[in-house]
Amino acid sequence: MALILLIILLPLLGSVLLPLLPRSLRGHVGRWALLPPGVCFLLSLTYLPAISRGDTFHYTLSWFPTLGIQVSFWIDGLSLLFALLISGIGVLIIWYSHYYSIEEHRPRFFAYLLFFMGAMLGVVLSSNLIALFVFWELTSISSFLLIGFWHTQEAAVYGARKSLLITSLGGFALLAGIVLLYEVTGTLELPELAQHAEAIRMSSLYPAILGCIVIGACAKSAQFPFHIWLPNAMAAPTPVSAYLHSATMVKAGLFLIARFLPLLSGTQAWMYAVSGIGMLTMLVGAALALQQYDLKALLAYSTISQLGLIMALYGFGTAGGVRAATFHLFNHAAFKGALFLLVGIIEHVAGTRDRRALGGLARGLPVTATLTGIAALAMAGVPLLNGFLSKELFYEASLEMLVWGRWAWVLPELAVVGSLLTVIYALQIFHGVFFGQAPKELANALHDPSAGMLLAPAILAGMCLLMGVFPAPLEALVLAPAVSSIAGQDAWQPLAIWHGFTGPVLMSAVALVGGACLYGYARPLRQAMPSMPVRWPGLSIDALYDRGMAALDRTGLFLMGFLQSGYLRWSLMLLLSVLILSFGVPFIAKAGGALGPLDLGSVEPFEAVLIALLMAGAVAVAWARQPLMAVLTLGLVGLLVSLLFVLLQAPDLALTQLLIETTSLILFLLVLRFLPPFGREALSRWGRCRDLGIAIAVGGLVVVLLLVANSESLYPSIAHYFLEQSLTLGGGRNMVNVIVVDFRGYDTMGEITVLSIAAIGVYALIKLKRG
Amino acid sequence: MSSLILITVARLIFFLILLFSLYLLLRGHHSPGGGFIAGVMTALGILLEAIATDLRDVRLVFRVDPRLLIGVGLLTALTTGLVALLLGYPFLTSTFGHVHVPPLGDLEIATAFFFDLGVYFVVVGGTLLMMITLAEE
Repeated sequence: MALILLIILLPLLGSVLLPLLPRSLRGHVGRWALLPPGVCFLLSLTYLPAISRGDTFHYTLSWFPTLGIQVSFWIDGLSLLFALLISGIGVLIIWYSHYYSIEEHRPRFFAYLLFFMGAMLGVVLSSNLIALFVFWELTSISSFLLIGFWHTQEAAVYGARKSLLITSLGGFALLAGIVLLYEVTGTLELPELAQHAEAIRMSSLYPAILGCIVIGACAKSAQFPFHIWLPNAMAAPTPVSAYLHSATMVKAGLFLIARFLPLLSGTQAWMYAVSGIGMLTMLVGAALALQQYDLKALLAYSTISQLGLIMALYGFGTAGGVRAATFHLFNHAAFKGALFLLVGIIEHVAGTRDRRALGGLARGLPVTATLTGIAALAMAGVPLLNGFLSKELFYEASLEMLVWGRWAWVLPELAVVGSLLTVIYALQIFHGVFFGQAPKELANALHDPSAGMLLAPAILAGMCLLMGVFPAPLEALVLAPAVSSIAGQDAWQPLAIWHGFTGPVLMSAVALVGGACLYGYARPLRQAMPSMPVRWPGLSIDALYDRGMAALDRTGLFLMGFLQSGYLRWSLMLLLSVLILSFGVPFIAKAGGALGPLDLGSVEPFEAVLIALLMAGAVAVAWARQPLMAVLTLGLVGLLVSLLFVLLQAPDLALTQLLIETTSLILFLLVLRFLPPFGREALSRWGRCRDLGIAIAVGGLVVVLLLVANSESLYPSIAHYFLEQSLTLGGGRNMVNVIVVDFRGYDTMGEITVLSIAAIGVYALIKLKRG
Repeated sequence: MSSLILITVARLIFFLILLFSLYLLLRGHHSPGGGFIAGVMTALGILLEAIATDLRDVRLVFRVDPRLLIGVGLLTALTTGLVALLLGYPFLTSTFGHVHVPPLGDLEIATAFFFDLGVYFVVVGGTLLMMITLAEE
């Protein structure tokens, strides 16, 4: 139990502690930040033997037991694969970031990275869907913080905002999907949900559930048409792009799809929605990647394309599809992570990421060139590298789909086209940058960076090579359990580097040879390609987003002017009118009739006198012509109420009332000289009648509310319970206090939070006004 | 506009008010009192001193930043809730026990008291922050 909690808490704790490092250790902050992911990685490894035997672990901590919400964790093959990816690549990214040029706010940068890591580990290890959702949103927030890290740059601010809006829109859909799932099954625990798979698929809510979950996953994993946030996210520092926006966070959507695959797949709707979107995204992403000159933008679109491929494979829902998808997910993390880090190095050395300004770098940067070659060719699917194996599985899975239906024949075709485009842009990165003529502007004396900076991409590229030649150990330990936790036992079949002249090999050959031949014609190809943003700028999704945002701004401004006119009396009038119309009228109509006749016989004479005085005081407040007079009369009313509490034997309330009365009197006196003079004469007769009407209506509503609350006719009173249990359960004889700090402690927690926010609000308003 | 009478009286009763507010805080679980009332009273006591001396001395005497108090209070309250959670009970579960201290006799210690202490700090900090900010205007 403690172990798995530690895996999530360590990075979060690290992110809190890092900025507190003493100044003398600040220079090594990147080294200290290695600690949490390193330990997390080792801790995750300890689960490996048991998981690869097929065990799973499930732990529960209660959170809101009455609502069925608990913090529970689940480790199976899939979550362990992700945990290892997140913590393992996390170590490499943090190691690399130490060398990456971030001059300012280094501790903050590493703190954000660790914050993300904790949140992401929470997503993949959560078993309760509400907990998963909370962590899911936390990853969006950390991504927002990291994209906007260079917050003085316009592009960073734009990208951060865009990503947050789109991914949290997806998060909203996901939450709706979770609620619907709960409606159908009555549980929020993933392992329990698995037993209800049939009921979910038969339910009339199934299309809605599927839609919500798929939208959530697509927004997170940058699937068409939500892909537009990912290219703008490239404004983040490069290690962030490598980590969040290619290796891990954007895979959260795929993780979600994989998690829900046993529950939701097996229907036509699943197949059409998930693989349709995936295939479309794969083609759109690849086509757009060809048109990019900025290497990071190229990698961003290529990431979109590869994510689409994996999505499509999960959409197949077959064992073969899941196998290929999971394997490719792992491979993509390795080669794409490496490529991003290497582009970071190229930018670091050459000072530009523009493809047109780069060339012939292989002479000066032999090591960087070799590593880029391995990673890019792995992406292209060249034999003896890991990408080749997962592409083979991809072709195989698409051929298996041929039996599926009339239109299934397009799948293998599309698979080959997508891969062919991949080969072209992989060559653009490798051949275009490192070979050919070096542009004149480029200095001649370029050379490889330090070994430390090369280490992280070297390890990732090494993984590509290792997995391509010798996949067996990792396959048995990590991938097989992950696949069988999605698609059931025995879904995994051992990989083979060569299995004869079969269909997949032929498809690979077509894609590789075709891509290599077409690489030379990349420019005309690019011009021939239909491109929405270029041909019809007004119709592109980006333009739609921008227009939507502008409309939102305008609406916000209009509403702001209407609701917050700057006059307190206008705001009050709106608030009270809405209260009366939306709640008061129906409430009185419904509950007012249920009230019995009023029994005024039990009112003592002194109570009657006091209440008469109170009413007179209230009228006097409204009548006062000077602000000071009104404030003092109001104080008098408050003191009378306090006296009433004493007479009704409520010392706690009386004391509180007395103190609050004093406090508000002082507050009023402090702000009195800022108040405008009373404008009674300025109000027309009609205006005064309107105000009187509202006042009477609100007063009447409160009276009815009190009478209903006191009549005990709707619900039995819980006062007796509190009276009996306050000493035995709460250990206090003062029932009021026990209610406040114990029985209703949650309310109090909320109230003191509100008080804090109000106080800070007052402080901010006054201090900001001064400019 | 500080008056000598006000200053003298304020200095005299300042400590009385603080003592009384602490008394209210400690007895709150059994008799009228509690963190909220005690907090307001403490803040009012400090404010009285502040108004009497025209705010100059308040920063000198009362060195703690009210904003910090708010944070400390919220954290204290939250921690009592989290401790329960870590021990496997629902968030904010409270318990109590009895200790025997020779001269005082039987003393009850309730974990809810720490929660109340958090309320006390938030109220002192919040009230002071609002009032001092407004008074400085």
